[in-house]
Amino acid sequence: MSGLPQANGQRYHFDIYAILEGSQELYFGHEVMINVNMVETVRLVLPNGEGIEKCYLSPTKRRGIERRCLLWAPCSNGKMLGEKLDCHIPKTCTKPECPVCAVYGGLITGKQTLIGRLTHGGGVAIQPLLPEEKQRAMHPSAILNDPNTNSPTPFKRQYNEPGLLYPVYNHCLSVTEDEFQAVAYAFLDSLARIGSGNPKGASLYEVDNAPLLVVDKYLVPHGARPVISPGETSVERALQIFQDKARRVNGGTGNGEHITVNNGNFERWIGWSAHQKLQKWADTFVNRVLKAND
Amino acid sequence: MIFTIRPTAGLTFRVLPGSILDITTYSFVPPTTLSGFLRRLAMMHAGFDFPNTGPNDQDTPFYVLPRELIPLGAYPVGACSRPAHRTYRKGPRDLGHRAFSDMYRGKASGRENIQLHTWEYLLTDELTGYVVSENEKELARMTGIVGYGSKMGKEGYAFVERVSGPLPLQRTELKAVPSTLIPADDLFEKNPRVPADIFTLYSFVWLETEEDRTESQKKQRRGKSTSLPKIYSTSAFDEHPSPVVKYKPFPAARVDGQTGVMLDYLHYEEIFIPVSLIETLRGEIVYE
Ligand SMILES: [Zn+2]
Repeated sequence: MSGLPQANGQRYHFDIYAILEGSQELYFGHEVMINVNMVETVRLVLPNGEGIEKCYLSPTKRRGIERRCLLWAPCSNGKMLGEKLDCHIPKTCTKPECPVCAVYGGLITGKQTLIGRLTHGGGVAIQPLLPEEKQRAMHPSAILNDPNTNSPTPFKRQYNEPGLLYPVYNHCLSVTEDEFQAVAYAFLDSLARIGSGNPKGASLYEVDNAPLLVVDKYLVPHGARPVISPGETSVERALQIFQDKARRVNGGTGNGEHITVNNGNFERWIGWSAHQKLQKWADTFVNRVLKAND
Repeated sequence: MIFTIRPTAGLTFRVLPGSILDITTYSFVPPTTLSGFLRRLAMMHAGFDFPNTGPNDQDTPFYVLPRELIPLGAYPVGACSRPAHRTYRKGPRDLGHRAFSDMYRGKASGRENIQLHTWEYLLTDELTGYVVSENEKELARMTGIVGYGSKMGKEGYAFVERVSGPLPLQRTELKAVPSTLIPADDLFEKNPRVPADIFTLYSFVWLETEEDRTESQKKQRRGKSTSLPKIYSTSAFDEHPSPVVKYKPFPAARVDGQTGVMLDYLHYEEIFIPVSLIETLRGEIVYE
Protein backbone atom coordinates (compact mmCIF):
# COMPACT_ATOMS: atom_id res chain seq x y z
CA MET A 1 0.00 0.00 0.00
CA SER A 2 2.65 2.51 1.01
CA GLY A 3 4.74 1.71 -2.03
CA LEU A 4 7.68 0.98 0.24
CA PRO A 5 9.68 -2.20 -0.12
CA GLN A 6 9.09 -4.79 2.55
CA ALA A 7 11.08 -3.50 5.48
CA ASN A 8 13.88 -5.34 7.14
CA GLY A 9 12.54 -4.74 10.63
CA GLN A 10 10.03 -2.38 12.17
CA ARG A 11 9.76 1.12 10.71
CA TYR A 12 9.77 4.14 13.01
CA HIS A 13 9.70 7.90 12.69
CA PHE A 14 12.87 9.67 13.79
CA ASP A 15 13.55 13.35 14.50
CA ILE A 16 16.76 15.21 15.34
CA TYR A 17 16.48 18.67 16.90
CA ALA A 18 19.63 20.67 17.50
CA ILE A 19 20.91 24.17 17.95
CA LEU A 20 24.11 24.75 16.02
CA GLU A 21 26.60 27.48 16.60
CA GLY A 22 28.62 28.93 13.79
CA SER A 23 31.79 28.71 15.83
CA GLN A 24 33.76 30.72 13.33
CA GLU A 25 33.02 32.86 10.36
CA LEU A 26 30.82 30.85 8.09
CA TYR A 27 30.56 31.21 4.40
CA PHE A 28 27.55 29.58 2.82
CA GLY A 29 26.91 29.33 -0.82
CA HIS A 30 29.21 29.08 -3.79
CA GLU A 31 28.29 25.44 -4.03
CA VAL A 32 27.20 24.40 -7.42
CA MET A 33 23.49 23.48 -7.29
CA ILE A 34 23.15 25.70 -4.33
CA ASN A 35 22.36 29.34 -4.01
CA VAL A 36 24.08 32.03 -5.93
CA ASN A 37 23.56 34.39 -3.04
CA MET A 38 26.75 34.33 -1.12
CA VAL A 39 25.15 34.79 2.22
CA GLU A 40 21.57 33.71 2.25
CA THR A 41 19.33 35.76 4.48
CA VAL A 42 15.62 35.65 5.09
CA ARG A 43 13.41 38.64 5.68
CA LEU A 44 10.47 38.26 8.00
CA VAL A 45 7.63 40.58 8.86
CA LEU A 46 6.73 40.50 12.56
CA PRO A 47 3.10 40.76 13.67
CA ASN A 48 3.68 44.42 14.63
CA GLY A 49 4.64 45.14 11.04
CA GLU A 50 8.35 45.48 11.74
CA GLY A 51 10.69 43.80 9.27
CA ILE A 52 13.74 41.80 10.34
CA GLU A 53 16.50 40.06 8.44
CA LYS A 54 18.34 36.94 9.57
CA CYS A 55 21.12 34.71 8.32
CA TYR A 56 19.91 31.35 7.00
CA LEU A 57 21.58 27.97 6.93
CA SER A 58 19.09 26.57 4.47
CA PRO A 59 17.79 23.00 4.79
CA THR A 60 18.60 22.51 1.09
CA LYS A 61 22.27 23.20 1.76
CA ARG A 62 22.42 20.92 4.79
CA ARG A 63 20.80 18.19 2.75
CA GLY A 64 23.43 18.56 0.03
CA ILE A 65 26.29 18.54 2.54
CA GLU A 66 24.94 15.45 4.29
CA ARG A 67 24.49 13.61 1.01
CA ARG A 68 28.07 14.39 0.03
CA CYS A 69 29.31 13.20 3.43
CA LEU A 70 27.76 9.82 2.67
CA LEU A 71 28.96 9.64 -0.93
CA TRP A 72 32.49 10.59 0.14
CA ALA A 73 32.56 8.22 3.10
CA PRO A 74 35.67 6.03 2.94
CA CYS A 75 35.06 2.30 2.47
CA SER A 76 37.29 -0.60 3.40
CA ASN A 77 38.22 -1.28 -0.25
CA GLY A 78 39.79 2.15 -0.58
CA LYS A 79 36.89 3.54 -2.53
CA MET A 80 34.41 6.16 -1.52
CA LEU A 81 30.88 4.97 -0.81
CA GLY A 82 29.52 6.83 -3.85
CA GLU A 83 31.99 5.05 -6.15
CA LYS A 84 31.27 1.71 -4.57
CA LEU A 85 27.52 2.16 -5.03
CA ASP A 86 27.83 4.02 -8.35
CA CYS A 87 25.71 6.72 -6.76
CA HIS A 88 26.57 10.35 -7.48
CA ILE A 89 25.19 13.88 -7.67
CA PRO A 90 23.11 14.48 -9.66
CA LYS A 91 23.29 10.97 -11.14
CA THR A 92 21.82 9.05 -8.23
CA CYS A 93 21.53 5.29 -8.42
CA THR A 94 17.90 5.47 -7.19
CA LYS A 95 17.99 1.91 -5.89
CA PRO A 96 15.76 1.24 -2.89
CA GLU A 97 18.58 -0.79 -1.31
CA CYS A 98 21.07 2.08 -1.61
CA PRO A 99 21.64 3.39 1.94
CA VAL A 100 21.85 6.95 0.58
CA CYS A 101 18.93 6.99 -1.89
CA ALA A 102 16.66 5.04 0.48
CA VAL A 103 16.47 8.03 2.81
CA TYR A 104 17.69 11.00 0.76
CA GLY A 105 15.69 10.02 -2.32
CA GLY A 106 16.78 9.59 -5.89
CA LEU A 107 15.72 10.56 -9.38
CA ILE A 108 16.51 9.22 -12.81
CA THR A 109 14.69 11.63 -15.11
CA GLY A 110 11.76 10.11 -16.89
CA LYS A 111 12.43 6.66 -15.49
CA GLN A 112 12.42 6.28 -11.79
CA THR A 113 11.86 8.30 -8.67
CA LEU A 114 12.58 7.27 -5.14
CA ILE A 115 10.86 9.61 -2.71
CA GLY A 116 13.15 10.80 0.04
CA ARG A 117 11.99 9.93 3.53
CA LEU A 118 14.07 12.59 5.21
CA THR A 119 13.10 16.25 5.44
CA HIS A 120 15.51 18.93 6.65
CA GLY A 121 14.21 21.94 8.49
CA GLY A 122 15.10 24.98 10.54
CA GLY A 123 18.15 27.05 9.73
CA VAL A 124 16.84 30.56 10.43
CA ALA A 125 19.37 32.10 12.83
CA ILE A 126 18.00 33.19 16.18
CA GLN A 127 19.80 36.53 16.30
CA PRO A 128 18.61 39.03 13.70
CA LEU A 129 20.97 41.23 11.74
CA LEU A 130 20.63 44.59 13.38
CA PRO A 131 20.62 47.42 10.84
CA GLU A 132 23.88 48.89 12.12
CA GLU A 133 25.47 45.47 12.26
CA LYS A 134 24.54 44.29 8.80
CA GLN A 135 27.88 45.23 7.39
CA ARG A 136 29.73 43.44 10.16
CA ALA A 137 27.66 40.32 9.90
CA MET A 138 28.07 40.09 6.18
CA HIS A 139 31.33 41.86 5.74
CA PRO A 140 32.98 41.83 2.38
CA SER A 141 36.55 40.79 2.82
CA ALA A 142 39.20 42.38 0.67
CA ILE A 143 41.76 39.61 0.60
CA LEU A 144 40.26 37.56 -2.16
CA ASN A 145 39.62 40.32 -4.62
CA ASP A 146 40.82 39.85 -8.10
CA PRO A 147 44.09 41.80 -8.23
CA ASN A 148 43.42 42.73 -11.85
CA THR A 149 40.44 44.81 -11.02
CA ASN A 150 40.38 47.89 -8.92
CA SER A 151 36.82 47.57 -7.81
CA PRO A 152 36.21 45.18 -4.96
CA THR A 153 33.71 42.37 -5.48
CA PRO A 154 31.91 42.43 -2.16
CA PHE A 155 29.03 40.25 -3.34
CA LYS A 156 31.33 37.26 -3.45
CA ARG A 157 32.94 37.60 -0.06
CA GLN A 158 30.46 37.50 2.71
CA TYR A 159 30.54 35.68 5.97
CA ASN A 160 28.02 34.92 8.61
CA GLU A 161 29.26 36.29 11.87
CA PRO A 162 30.53 33.70 14.37
CA GLY A 163 28.31 33.10 17.34
CA LEU A 164 25.07 33.01 15.39
CA LEU A 165 22.82 30.17 16.57
CA TYR A 166 20.87 28.06 14.09
CA PRO A 167 18.11 25.70 15.21
CA VAL A 168 18.08 22.78 12.76
CA TYR A 169 15.86 19.69 12.41
CA ASN A 170 16.01 16.39 10.53
CA HIS A 171 12.73 14.48 10.22
CA CYS A 172 12.54 10.88 9.00
CA LEU A 173 9.21 9.24 8.18
CA SER A 174 8.71 5.47 8.30
CA VAL A 175 12.31 4.27 8.16
CA THR A 176 13.99 1.29 9.79
CA GLU A 177 16.70 1.72 12.37
CA ASP A 178 19.22 0.47 9.78
CA GLU A 179 18.14 3.17 7.35
CA PHE A 180 18.32 5.84 10.03
CA GLN A 181 21.96 4.97 10.81
CA ALA A 182 22.96 6.68 7.54
CA VAL A 183 21.20 9.84 8.70
CA ALA A 184 22.94 9.74 12.08
CA TYR A 185 26.32 9.32 10.36
CA ALA A 186 25.63 12.13 7.89
CA PHE A 187 24.29 14.53 10.51
CA LEU A 188 27.37 14.17 12.74
CA ASP A 189 29.87 14.07 9.89
CA SER A 190 28.36 17.11 8.18
CA LEU A 191 28.79 19.45 11.15
CA ALA A 192 32.45 20.05 10.42
CA ARG A 193 31.69 20.59 6.73
CA ILE A 194 28.93 23.17 6.97
CA GLY A 195 29.77 26.17 4.86
CA SER A 196 32.03 26.21 1.89
CA GLY A 197 35.45 27.72 1.57
CA ASN A 198 37.56 28.08 4.68
CA PRO A 199 37.07 28.16 7.54
CA LYS A 200 34.02 25.98 7.81
CA GLY A 201 32.14 24.06 10.40
CA ALA A 202 29.45 24.46 12.99
CA SER A 203 29.17 22.78 16.33
CA LEU A 204 26.41 21.68 18.60
CA TYR A 205 25.76 24.59 20.92
CA GLU A 206 26.34 23.74 24.56
CA VAL A 207 24.65 25.10 27.66
CA ASP A 208 25.98 23.94 31.04
CA ASN A 209 28.35 21.60 29.21
CA ALA A 210 25.55 19.73 27.44
CA PRO A 211 24.69 20.06 23.75
CA LEU A 212 21.26 21.34 22.80
CA LEU A 213 20.34 18.13 21.03
CA VAL A 214 17.23 15.94 21.10
CA VAL A 215 16.66 12.68 19.23
CA ASP A 216 13.22 11.04 19.04
CA LYS A 217 12.38 7.55 17.80
CA TYR A 218 8.68 6.78 17.80
CA LEU A 219 5.53 5.30 16.43
CA VAL A 220 3.34 7.60 18.49
CA PRO A 221 4.50 11.15 19.32
CA HIS A 222 4.49 11.90 23.04
CA GLY A 223 6.81 14.83 23.52
CA ALA A 224 6.68 18.53 22.83
CA ARG A 225 8.89 19.23 19.83
CA PRO A 226 11.79 21.56 20.65
CA VAL A 227 11.46 23.92 17.71
CA ILE A 228 12.17 27.63 17.67
CA SER A 229 9.95 30.02 15.71
CA PRO A 230 11.78 31.80 12.89
CA GLY A 231 10.46 35.06 14.36
CA GLU A 232 12.15 34.47 17.74
CA THR A 233 15.03 36.92 18.23
CA SER A 234 16.04 36.44 21.87
CA VAL A 235 18.75 33.84 22.46
CA GLU A 236 17.83 33.52 26.11
CA ARG A 237 14.17 32.87 25.32
CA ALA A 238 14.95 30.47 22.49
CA LEU A 239 17.25 28.34 24.65
CA GLN A 240 14.64 28.28 27.41
CA ILE A 241 11.95 27.14 24.96
CA PHE A 242 14.22 24.46 23.53
CA GLN A 243 15.10 23.06 26.95
CA ASP A 244 11.55 23.23 28.32
CA LYS A 245 10.08 21.46 25.32
CA ALA A 246 12.85 18.86 25.31
CA ARG A 247 11.86 17.85 28.84
CA ARG A 248 8.11 17.89 28.21
CA VAL A 249 7.19 14.26 27.54
CA ASN A 250 3.74 12.95 28.42
CA GLY A 251 3.73 9.87 30.60
CA GLY A 252 7.38 8.97 30.18
CA THR A 253 9.75 7.18 32.49
CA GLY A 254 13.51 7.52 32.50
CA ASN A 255 16.51 9.32 33.89
CA GLY A 256 15.89 12.73 32.37
CA GLU A 257 18.30 12.17 29.47
CA HIS A 258 16.58 9.09 28.09
CA ILE A 259 12.82 8.88 28.33
CA THR A 260 10.67 5.96 27.20
CA VAL A 261 6.89 5.90 26.83
CA ASN A 262 4.70 2.79 26.43
CA ASN A 263 7.41 0.20 25.86
CA GLY A 264 9.22 2.21 23.25
CA ASN A 265 6.29 3.59 21.28
CA PHE A 266 8.17 6.80 21.95
CA GLU A 267 11.78 7.23 22.98
CA ARG A 268 13.63 10.51 23.51
CA TRP A 269 17.31 11.12 24.13
CA ILE A 270 18.49 14.54 25.33
CA GLY A 271 21.91 16.23 25.43
CA TRP A 272 24.97 13.96 25.67
CA SER A 273 22.79 10.89 25.76
CA ALA A 274 21.33 11.96 22.39
CA HIS A 275 24.84 12.54 21.09
CA GLN A 276 25.96 9.10 22.25
CA LYS A 277 22.94 7.49 20.64
CA LEU A 278 23.65 9.19 17.30
CA GLN A 279 27.30 8.17 17.53
CA LYS A 280 26.36 4.59 18.22
CA TRP A 281 24.11 4.52 15.15
CA ALA A 282 26.88 6.17 13.10
CA ASP A 283 29.39 3.55 14.28
CA THR A 284 27.02 0.78 13.32
CA PHE A 285 26.71 2.36 9.88
CA VAL A 286 30.50 2.40 9.54
CA ASN A 287 30.80 -1.24 10.55
CA ARG A 288 27.80 -2.52 8.65
CA VAL A 289 28.09 -0.51 5.40
CA LEU A 290 31.48 1.17 5.05
CA LYS A 291 33.55 -1.76 6.33
CA ALA A 292 31.48 -4.41 4.56
CA ASN A 293 33.64 -6.72 2.46
CA ASP A 294 32.09 -6.83 -0.95
CA MET B 1 -12.32 22.67 14.03
CA ILE B 2 -9.09 24.64 14.33
CA PHE B 3 -5.65 23.10 13.78
CA THR B 4 -2.61 24.92 15.13
CA ILE B 5 0.15 23.80 12.82
CA ARG B 6 3.82 24.51 13.37
CA PRO B 7 6.10 24.34 10.37
CA THR B 8 9.69 23.34 11.11
CA ALA B 9 10.98 24.38 7.70
CA GLY B 10 10.37 26.71 4.82
CA LEU B 11 7.33 25.43 2.92
CA THR B 12 6.57 25.44 -0.79
CA PHE B 13 2.97 25.20 -1.95
CA ARG B 14 3.55 25.29 -5.62
CA VAL B 15 1.42 27.66 -7.63
CA LEU B 16 0.11 25.74 -10.63
CA PRO B 17 0.03 26.19 -13.48
CA GLY B 18 3.48 27.75 -13.23
CA SER B 19 6.93 27.79 -14.67
CA ILE B 20 9.22 24.78 -14.36
CA LEU B 21 12.23 26.98 -13.70
CA ASP B 22 10.59 29.44 -11.38
CA ILE B 23 8.74 27.71 -8.59
CA THR B 24 6.46 30.08 -6.73
CA THR B 25 4.50 29.39 -3.57
CA TYR B 26 1.12 30.39 -2.22
CA SER B 27 1.43 32.46 0.96
CA PHE B 28 -0.87 30.03 2.82
CA VAL B 29 -1.63 26.32 2.78
CA PRO B 30 -4.13 25.60 -0.01
CA PRO B 31 -7.24 23.65 1.09
CA THR B 32 -6.33 20.60 -0.99
CA THR B 33 -2.80 20.51 0.48
CA LEU B 34 -4.17 20.79 4.01
CA SER B 35 -6.47 17.88 3.26
CA GLY B 36 -3.59 15.65 2.11
CA PHE B 37 -1.45 16.65 5.08
CA LEU B 38 -4.12 15.92 7.71
CA ARG B 39 -5.02 12.64 6.02
CA ARG B 40 -1.39 11.45 6.20
CA LEU B 41 -1.25 12.29 9.89
CA ALA B 42 -4.46 10.34 10.46
CA MET B 43 -2.99 7.36 8.60
CA MET B 44 0.18 7.52 10.69
CA HIS B 45 -1.97 7.71 13.81
CA ALA B 46 -3.80 4.58 12.68
CA GLY B 47 -0.46 2.79 12.38
CA PHE B 48 -0.08 2.74 8.60
CA ASP B 49 3.19 3.66 6.92
CA PHE B 50 3.46 7.07 5.37
CA PRO B 51 2.03 6.66 1.85
CA ASN B 52 4.87 6.87 -0.59
CA THR B 53 3.04 8.94 -3.16
CA GLY B 54 5.47 10.23 -5.68
CA PRO B 55 5.42 12.74 -8.45
CA ASN B 56 1.98 13.79 -9.50
CA ASP B 57 1.59 11.64 -12.52
CA GLN B 58 -1.68 10.20 -13.72
CA ASP B 59 -1.58 7.07 -11.61
CA THR B 60 -0.73 8.73 -8.34
CA PRO B 61 -3.48 7.90 -5.88
CA PHE B 62 -5.00 10.68 -3.80
CA TYR B 63 -4.87 10.42 -0.02
CA VAL B 64 -7.10 13.16 1.35
CA LEU B 65 -9.75 13.68 4.03
CA PRO B 66 -13.16 12.09 3.41
CA ARG B 67 -15.65 14.20 1.51
CA GLU B 68 -17.66 15.17 4.58
CA LEU B 69 -14.62 16.86 6.18
CA ILE B 70 -14.05 20.06 4.24
CA PRO B 71 -10.60 21.64 4.63
CA LEU B 72 -10.48 25.43 4.18
CA GLY B 73 -6.72 25.98 4.11
CA ALA B 74 -4.27 27.13 6.79
CA TYR B 75 -3.01 30.67 7.23
CA PRO B 76 0.21 32.15 8.69
CA VAL B 77 0.29 33.51 12.23
CA GLY B 78 3.16 35.43 13.81
CA ALA B 79 6.34 36.28 11.96
CA CYS B 80 6.14 35.46 8.29
CA SER B 81 8.13 35.89 5.11
CA ARG B 82 6.27 38.48 3.03
CA PRO B 83 7.00 38.26 0.15
CA ALA B 84 8.04 34.63 0.11
CA HIS B 85 11.72 33.81 0.60
CA ARG B 86 13.20 33.38 -2.87
CA THR B 87 16.29 31.31 -3.49
CA TYR B 88 18.32 31.08 -6.63
CA ARG B 89 19.53 27.65 -7.47
CA LYS B 90 21.86 26.45 -10.10
CA GLY B 91 20.32 23.27 -11.33
CA PRO B 92 21.88 20.79 -13.66
CA ARG B 93 20.43 20.68 -17.15
CA ASP B 94 21.37 17.07 -17.32
CA LEU B 95 21.21 14.60 -14.47
CA GLY B 96 23.26 11.93 -16.21
CA HIS B 97 26.62 12.89 -14.77
CA ARG B 98 28.39 12.90 -11.45
CA ALA B 99 30.28 16.17 -11.46
CA PHE B 100 28.56 17.62 -8.41
CA SER B 101 29.71 14.88 -6.08
CA ASP B 102 33.21 14.47 -7.46
CA MET B 103 35.63 15.32 -4.75
CA TYR B 104 38.24 16.75 -7.05
CA ARG B 105 37.06 19.02 -9.73
CA GLY B 106 39.36 19.40 -12.63
CA LYS B 107 38.53 21.42 -15.66
CA ALA B 108 34.81 21.43 -16.28
CA SER B 109 33.91 18.76 -18.74
CA GLY B 110 30.90 20.75 -19.74
CA ARG B 111 28.43 18.09 -18.76
CA GLU B 112 27.49 19.85 -15.59
CA ASN B 113 26.30 22.90 -17.51
CA ILE B 114 23.77 24.51 -15.35
CA GLN B 115 20.65 26.55 -15.55
CA LEU B 116 19.48 29.05 -13.04
CA HIS B 117 16.14 28.65 -11.44
CA THR B 118 14.30 30.17 -8.52
CA TRP B 119 12.39 28.51 -5.76
CA GLU B 120 10.17 30.24 -3.22
CA TYR B 121 9.50 29.31 0.39
CA LEU B 122 6.96 30.44 2.92
CA LEU B 123 8.57 30.81 6.34
CA THR B 124 6.24 31.36 9.25
CA ASP B 125 6.01 30.75 12.99
CA GLU B 126 2.64 29.07 12.90
CA LEU B 127 -0.35 28.27 10.71
CA THR B 128 -4.02 28.20 11.64
CA GLY B 129 -5.94 25.60 9.67
CA TYR B 130 -9.72 25.16 9.46
CA VAL B 131 -11.79 22.08 8.69
CA VAL B 132 -15.60 22.19 8.73
CA SER B 133 -18.12 19.38 8.69
CA GLU B 134 -21.72 18.55 9.43
CA ASN B 135 -20.46 15.31 10.97
CA GLU B 136 -19.31 16.37 14.42
CA LYS B 137 -18.20 12.87 15.38
CA GLU B 138 -15.85 12.41 12.43
CA LEU B 139 -14.45 15.88 13.00
CA ALA B 140 -13.86 15.17 16.69
CA ARG B 141 -11.86 12.06 15.78
CA MET B 142 -9.26 14.33 14.18
CA THR B 143 -8.17 15.38 17.69
CA GLY B 144 -6.13 12.16 17.62
CA ILE B 145 -3.55 13.59 15.23
CA VAL B 146 -2.13 16.10 17.72
CA GLY B 147 1.65 15.74 17.87
CA TYR B 148 2.02 14.02 14.51
CA GLY B 149 4.05 15.64 11.76
CA SER B 150 4.84 14.98 8.14
CA LYS B 151 6.11 16.47 4.96
CA MET B 152 3.85 19.25 3.81
CA GLY B 153 3.51 20.63 0.32
CA LYS B 154 6.27 20.33 -2.24
CA GLU B 155 9.04 20.84 0.32
CA GLY B 156 9.00 21.25 4.05
CA TYR B 157 7.66 19.66 7.23
CA ALA B 158 5.05 20.64 9.79
CA PHE B 159 3.29 19.12 12.77
CA VAL B 160 -0.02 19.67 14.52
CA GLU B 161 0.67 21.27 17.87
CA ARG B 162 -2.89 21.79 19.04
CA VAL B 163 -6.48 21.19 18.00
CA SER B 164 -9.53 23.10 19.23
CA GLY B 165 -13.09 22.13 18.68
CA PRO B 166 -15.29 21.04 17.10
CA LEU B 167 -16.75 24.51 17.50
CA PRO B 168 -20.38 25.27 16.62
CA LEU B 169 -20.68 27.78 13.78
CA GLN B 170 -23.50 30.27 13.39
CA ARG B 171 -24.70 31.69 10.15
CA THR B 172 -24.71 35.46 9.85
CA GLU B 173 -24.45 38.12 7.17
CA LEU B 174 -22.32 41.08 8.12
CA LYS B 175 -19.11 42.98 7.53
CA ALA B 176 -16.17 41.13 9.06
CA VAL B 177 -12.55 40.17 8.43
CA PRO B 178 -12.70 36.72 6.84
CA SER B 179 -10.43 34.07 8.41
CA THR B 180 -9.91 32.27 5.13
CA LEU B 181 -9.90 32.69 1.39
CA ILE B 182 -13.05 33.82 -0.35
CA PRO B 183 -14.29 32.68 -3.76
CA ALA B 184 -13.51 35.74 -5.87
CA ASP B 185 -16.95 35.90 -7.51
CA ASP B 186 -18.71 36.06 -4.18
CA LEU B 187 -16.32 38.67 -2.78
CA PHE B 188 -16.58 41.10 -5.69
CA GLU B 189 -20.29 40.69 -6.17
CA LYS B 190 -20.91 41.96 -2.64
CA ASN B 191 -17.79 44.16 -2.29
CA PRO B 192 -16.99 45.46 -5.78
CA ARG B 193 -14.11 47.74 -4.87
CA VAL B 194 -12.27 45.91 -2.11
CA PRO B 195 -8.53 45.40 -2.72
CA ALA B 196 -7.61 41.71 -2.71
CA ASP B 197 -5.04 39.25 -3.98
CA ILE B 198 -6.40 36.77 -6.48
CA PHE B 199 -5.22 33.18 -6.90
CA THR B 200 -6.28 30.13 -8.80
CA LEU B 201 -7.09 27.41 -6.30
CA TYR B 202 -8.54 23.97 -6.57
CA SER B 203 -11.35 21.86 -5.18
CA PHE B 204 -11.71 18.10 -5.50
CA VAL B 205 -13.86 16.30 -8.02
CA TRP B 206 -15.13 13.14 -6.33
CA LEU B 207 -16.19 9.86 -7.75
CA GLU B 208 -19.65 8.87 -6.59
CA THR B 209 -19.48 6.23 -3.89
CA GLU B 210 -21.83 3.40 -2.97
CA GLU B 211 -23.52 5.62 -0.39
CA ASP B 212 -24.38 8.18 -3.07
CA ARG B 213 -26.43 5.66 -5.04
CA THR B 214 -30.06 4.83 -4.58
CA GLU B 215 -31.03 1.18 -4.12
CA SER B 216 -32.23 0.88 -7.70
CA GLN B 217 -29.01 2.39 -9.02
CA LYS B 218 -27.03 -0.12 -6.98
CA LYS B 219 -29.06 -3.00 -8.33
CA GLN B 220 -28.70 -1.79 -11.87
CA ARG B 221 -24.95 -1.46 -11.47
CA ARG B 222 -24.55 -4.89 -9.94
CA GLY B 223 -26.13 -6.33 -13.03
CA LYS B 224 -23.78 -4.47 -15.37
CA SER B 225 -20.50 -4.35 -13.54
CA THR B 226 -18.05 -7.06 -14.35
CA SER B 227 -14.96 -5.87 -12.54
CA LEU B 228 -14.57 -5.80 -8.80
CA PRO B 229 -15.25 -2.39 -7.31
CA LYS B 230 -12.10 -0.60 -6.20
CA ILE B 231 -11.86 -0.04 -2.47
CA TYR B 232 -11.89 3.64 -1.63
CA SER B 233 -11.27 5.44 1.61
CA THR B 234 -14.30 6.21 3.75
CA SER B 235 -12.45 7.57 6.77
CA ALA B 236 -9.36 9.68 7.39
CA PHE B 237 -7.99 6.80 9.43
CA ASP B 238 -8.14 3.98 6.89
CA GLU B 239 -5.45 2.98 4.40
CA HIS B 240 -7.31 3.30 1.13
CA PRO B 241 -6.88 5.94 -1.55
CA SER B 242 -9.57 8.60 -1.76
CA PRO B 243 -12.29 8.58 -4.45
CA VAL B 244 -10.90 11.74 -6.01
CA VAL B 245 -10.84 11.98 -9.80
CA LYS B 246 -9.17 15.35 -10.32
CA TYR B 247 -8.89 18.95 -9.23
CA LYS B 248 -11.20 21.70 -10.40
CA PRO B 249 -9.87 25.28 -10.47
CA PHE B 250 -11.68 28.30 -9.03
CA PRO B 251 -10.63 31.93 -8.57
CA ALA B 252 -10.08 32.76 -4.91
CA ALA B 253 -9.33 36.02 -3.17
CA ARG B 254 -7.62 37.04 0.05
CA VAL B 255 -8.11 40.39 1.69
CA ASP B 256 -5.55 41.71 4.14
CA GLY B 257 -6.02 40.96 7.81
CA GLN B 258 -7.70 44.27 8.61
CA THR B 259 -10.24 44.77 5.89
CA GLY B 260 -13.78 43.81 6.79
CA VAL B 261 -15.95 42.64 3.92
CA MET B 262 -19.68 42.02 3.64
CA LEU B 263 -20.39 38.32 3.20
CA ASP B 264 -22.59 35.47 4.28
CA TYR B 265 -20.51 33.86 7.04
CA LEU B 266 -20.43 30.95 9.41
CA HIS B 267 -18.82 32.26 12.56
CA TYR B 268 -17.64 31.41 16.04
CA GLU B 269 -16.27 34.29 18.09
CA GLU B 270 -13.52 35.85 15.94
CA ILE B 271 -13.63 33.19 13.23
CA PHE B 272 -15.48 34.16 10.08
CA ILE B 273 -15.76 31.62 7.28
CA PRO B 274 -17.45 32.58 4.01
CA VAL B 275 -20.31 30.16 3.29
CA SER B 276 -19.47 30.31 -0.41
CA LEU B 277 -15.99 28.91 0.30
CA ILE B 278 -17.44 25.87 2.02
CA GLU B 279 -19.85 25.35 -0.88
CA THR B 280 -17.02 25.60 -3.42
CA LEU B 281 -14.69 23.28 -1.51
CA ARG B 282 -17.36 20.62 -1.06
CA GLY B 283 -16.39 19.83 -4.61
CA GLU B 284 -18.26 18.11 -7.35
CA ILE B 285 -19.33 14.53 -7.70
CA VAL B 286 -19.02 12.72 -11.00
CA TYR B 287 -20.73 9.50 -11.95
CA GLU B 288 -19.00 6.76 -13.79
ZN1 LIG C 1 22.02 5.70 -4.39
